[in-house]
Amino acid sequence: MSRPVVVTTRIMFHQWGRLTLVVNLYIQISVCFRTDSFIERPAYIIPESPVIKFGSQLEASCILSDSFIKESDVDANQIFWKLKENRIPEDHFFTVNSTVSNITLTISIVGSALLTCNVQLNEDQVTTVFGIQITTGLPPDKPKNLSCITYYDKNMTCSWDPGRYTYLPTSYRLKLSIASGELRPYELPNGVNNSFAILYPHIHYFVLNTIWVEANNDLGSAKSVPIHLDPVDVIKPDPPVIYLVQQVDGISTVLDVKWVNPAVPVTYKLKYNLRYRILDTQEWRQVPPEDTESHRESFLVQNMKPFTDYAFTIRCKKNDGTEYWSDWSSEEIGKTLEAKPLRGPPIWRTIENLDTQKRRIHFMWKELDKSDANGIILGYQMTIKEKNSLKIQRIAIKDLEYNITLSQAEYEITLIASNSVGNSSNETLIVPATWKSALPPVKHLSVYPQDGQLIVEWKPPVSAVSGYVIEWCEESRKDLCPGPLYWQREQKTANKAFLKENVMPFKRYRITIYPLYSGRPGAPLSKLTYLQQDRPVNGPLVHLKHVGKKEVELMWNEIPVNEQRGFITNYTIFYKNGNVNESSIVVNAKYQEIILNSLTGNTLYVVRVMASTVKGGTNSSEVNFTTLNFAKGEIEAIVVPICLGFLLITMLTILLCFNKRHLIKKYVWPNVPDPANSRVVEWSSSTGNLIQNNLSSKEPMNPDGFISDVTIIEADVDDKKYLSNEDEIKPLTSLKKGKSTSEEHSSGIGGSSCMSSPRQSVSDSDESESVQNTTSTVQYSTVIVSGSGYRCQQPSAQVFTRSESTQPLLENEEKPDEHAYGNFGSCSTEVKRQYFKQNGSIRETNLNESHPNEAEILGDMNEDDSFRLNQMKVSDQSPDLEGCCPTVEDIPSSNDQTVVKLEFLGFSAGLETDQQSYMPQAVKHNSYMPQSK
Amino acid sequence: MELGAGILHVLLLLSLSCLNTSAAPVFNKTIKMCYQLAAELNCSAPALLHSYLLAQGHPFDNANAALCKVGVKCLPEGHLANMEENEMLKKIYIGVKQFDLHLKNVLVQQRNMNPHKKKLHNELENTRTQLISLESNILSILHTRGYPVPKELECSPEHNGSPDNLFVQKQQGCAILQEFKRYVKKVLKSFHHLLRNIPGKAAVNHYSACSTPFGLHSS
Repeated sequence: MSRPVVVTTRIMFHQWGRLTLVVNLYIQISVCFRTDSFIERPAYIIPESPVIKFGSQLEASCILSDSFIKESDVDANQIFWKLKENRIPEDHFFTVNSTVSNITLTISIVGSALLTCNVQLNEDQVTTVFGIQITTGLPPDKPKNLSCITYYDKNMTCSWDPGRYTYLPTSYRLKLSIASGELRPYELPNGVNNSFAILYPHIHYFVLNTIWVEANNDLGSAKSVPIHLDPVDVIKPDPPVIYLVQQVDGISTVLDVKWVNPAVPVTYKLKYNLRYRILDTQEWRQVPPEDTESHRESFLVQNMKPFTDYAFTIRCKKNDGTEYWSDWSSEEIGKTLEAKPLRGPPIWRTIENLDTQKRRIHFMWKELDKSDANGIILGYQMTIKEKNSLKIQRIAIKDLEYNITLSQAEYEITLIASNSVGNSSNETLIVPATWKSALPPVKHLSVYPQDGQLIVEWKPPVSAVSGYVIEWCEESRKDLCPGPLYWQREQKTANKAFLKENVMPFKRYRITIYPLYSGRPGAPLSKLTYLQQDRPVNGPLVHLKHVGKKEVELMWNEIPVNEQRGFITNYTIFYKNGNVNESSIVVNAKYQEIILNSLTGNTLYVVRVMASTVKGGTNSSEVNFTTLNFAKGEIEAIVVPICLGFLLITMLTILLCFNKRHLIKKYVWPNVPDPANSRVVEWSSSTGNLIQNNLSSKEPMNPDGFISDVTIIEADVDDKKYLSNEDEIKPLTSLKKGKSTSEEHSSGIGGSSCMSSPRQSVSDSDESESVQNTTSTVQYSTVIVSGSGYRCQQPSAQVFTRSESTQPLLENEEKPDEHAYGNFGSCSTEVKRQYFKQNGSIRETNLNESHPNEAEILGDMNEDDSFRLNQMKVSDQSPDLEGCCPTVEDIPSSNDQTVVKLEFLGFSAGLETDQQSYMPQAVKHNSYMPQSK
Repeated sequence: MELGAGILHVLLLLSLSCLNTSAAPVFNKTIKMCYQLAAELNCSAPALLHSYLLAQGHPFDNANAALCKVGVKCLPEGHLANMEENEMLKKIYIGVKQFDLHLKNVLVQQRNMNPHKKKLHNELENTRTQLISLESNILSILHTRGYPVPKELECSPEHNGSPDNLFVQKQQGCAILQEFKRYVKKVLKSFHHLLRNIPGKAAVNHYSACSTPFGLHSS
């Protein structure tokens, strides 16, 4: 009955409201028209502040005031429009009458823009007479996906999707009504358009709530689809709070978990999810949900591991609904009671043979995992049993290792771990006798990195195994593991395992696996590997082994294992000369030397060697070298043929000379007339006897002088009358020249006679001309022998007088002081072969007396003899010969040919002293008469 | 707008009641919700009284029964047992509404008297919310059944003037809450009875004890 009345009243109220609105509008317009400000405006635009939908059309009118028209003498035809300072094309507006211009625009901008009405006063003057702010936007979308969640005793939060952004001020209201019709609108605060929280205590539980959202702006309103719910049904409870996890006496596998339920309605019954995990792991286990479906405050969790820390957490929700689960509670930790160790500790050994009888065995075992220890391990009991003798040794140990020296026999080792509850089962390891052959190894072993760990994978041997032991160690030097040994046991069913500890990247590890046959180790199988490889730390050290003209031999040291950081896959040799592009050669890693060929000779090369792993390479330091100019043997190949050629030529020359010796002799050694056939021989033999007799009677041979006068006869060598033939002229001429040349270098030793002072040599400059003159003349001397003039001379047994031979005198004999015998020292063979012709006017000569220097004429005398002779003569010089008398020896010639050899005694000394002398000349009996002192 | 919301709810309830297939479950659910609300009130009423007495200070802090034995007008009278179901619901509705209005007065008094006792204010407000929810549920049931419900109370606490004396206000507040505690218990029993008689009843446990968070129990 009352509801129609209310409705009628409300309709009436609405009608009254509209009427009031119209009246108010009229009043406002009236006031507006009467205000001075409006009157003073030159124009105005209708509508004044339009809000339009994005993309829709706007119709506006600019109305000029009469006063402005009169004052400015304008009309509506002069109106043009601007939007955001951009003049609008004329086809968008038109003039309605003299005061009104209408425009129709499609607004495609979002937000606000200024639309102005402008008047073209004249060609130059424009005035803006009015402007309005256009606001564009969108009407609100219908809110979607409305949902609510209740946080008991806190709030009920409803959220929804408001749809597109409207670009306009839009209000959102969450409205709620309950069955009785009570309506509660909740206005959202500014800036919030997608959620609202109804706070406790205004949440109506256990009653149907109708909730919807309304959105309003200037372009319209929208209302969501209402939802009907009881806030209790959308409660997300707070999580329960576990306040105690306690052990149950005598049961090591049960924990009692107690908690406090969250604040929920009293009729609200909960169910739970209770989960737990071992503290060190992240794997959760859950109590079966059907066991926790009823409302409760504690639970006994069973089947737990002894002496293990567990973390518990719990969540809840209404037990008969599909509402929200609470969040998980914070964790609470509890620990189960101890139990006996589950098994014995895994044991392993290393063996060191001390001698043939004994070996030291290092037993080591690992701490039991917590899951196996079931408590705190208090100690270990080791039993060592020798198989044959059945000797048993029991040892209590607290450490994790034990050293013992055992014989080479087989032993069985058992190990037991103990805690406060009891002992574990036995763990057995056989130490086989040394003479027993090892059982077979695993079939195949591979090691590779995966997920930052090393995976060891193997194929089990044919025989059944009881487990495996994997050993590994860091190989920091080649084939050496100086560091600690790591190991781990694997189950018999395993065929791969992760190495759990002590494996670092960039280090080389030697992995070894032993199968165990009922505790008896089989033969090992090993592999080298890296967890992660990298480039070598350093490059190899490069040496030059050999440098040639076009090749070089390089060698390099292997990089130390701890610097390799990976397996060396290859070496790359880079080499270049100057700015030429670098060349490279890749060499297999097993080689450490290379020969680079095809190089350019005499060129500077730079070479480096890069050692590479799979991760890259590292260069050595650069080595510079210069290739050789000549290859090995090249010089020899040039020089040896040249020398051989020279030698051949020399030999050919000698042979030629030998073949042509008669011809050469003819020119070089012409036949000398035999003086034995001259008359002087007869004369000299009688005279010689006479002299000999005189000397032997100790009487002065001739107190007045044996030779009273020396006549020098100058004859022109060109005068052919002195020469027997032309052939004799030529060598003479050459000899003269040679003599002259040698005299230029003469030191002036020697003199013309014994009386002559050695210092008054014919080589004096004053006499040089006369010496030269001898090249054109043959000097014949008249020797005047003065008995008192040669006190130093002993009388000679044989005194030769001047020969009357028609043969020319030997030049040496004739002018011994002119012979610079030093020239003989200069190896002038020509000088040695000097001879001269004597003519018959030469009466006598005495070379021995006339030369202070000592000389020998040697025929076919070797150097040793000469040297011996020299020594002998030198020793005879001073006391016996009174320092200045030469000696003469006859050396018979072996053939008819006369060989004249002159040699000095003490030549070198003679150069420095005044006591230089000629060697006596030996003359064959067929040529010169032997000359005695 | 309020009118629209009201119409919406009426239409909703009518539509639910017109559908025979869905009316029974809705009714059962509403009865159950009434029962749950009664249970909530039954548990919260002692706590509310306790909080109220605590907030009033001496001599109300020890729940002196003698202090609260004052006469209060417009409290529900009579018993609820052995009544016809709709009549009982109607009586409960009137009683709940009376208490709602009483608590409204108490809340106003306490906001003036103890403006900083927010917890008490919230508890009073929450109790009123629950009472309104209960009213709404009962009204829905009665509307669904077409049973007339008086719009105006014969004795409305709104028309009773609030005493000027603060002590008297406290006395009256204490008396109202004590009486409310007793009344809610009766209501709970009534709804429990109703719920048991519903054919195809939903399994509802009888809440003999009220639990509060973190193991605290209120009597």
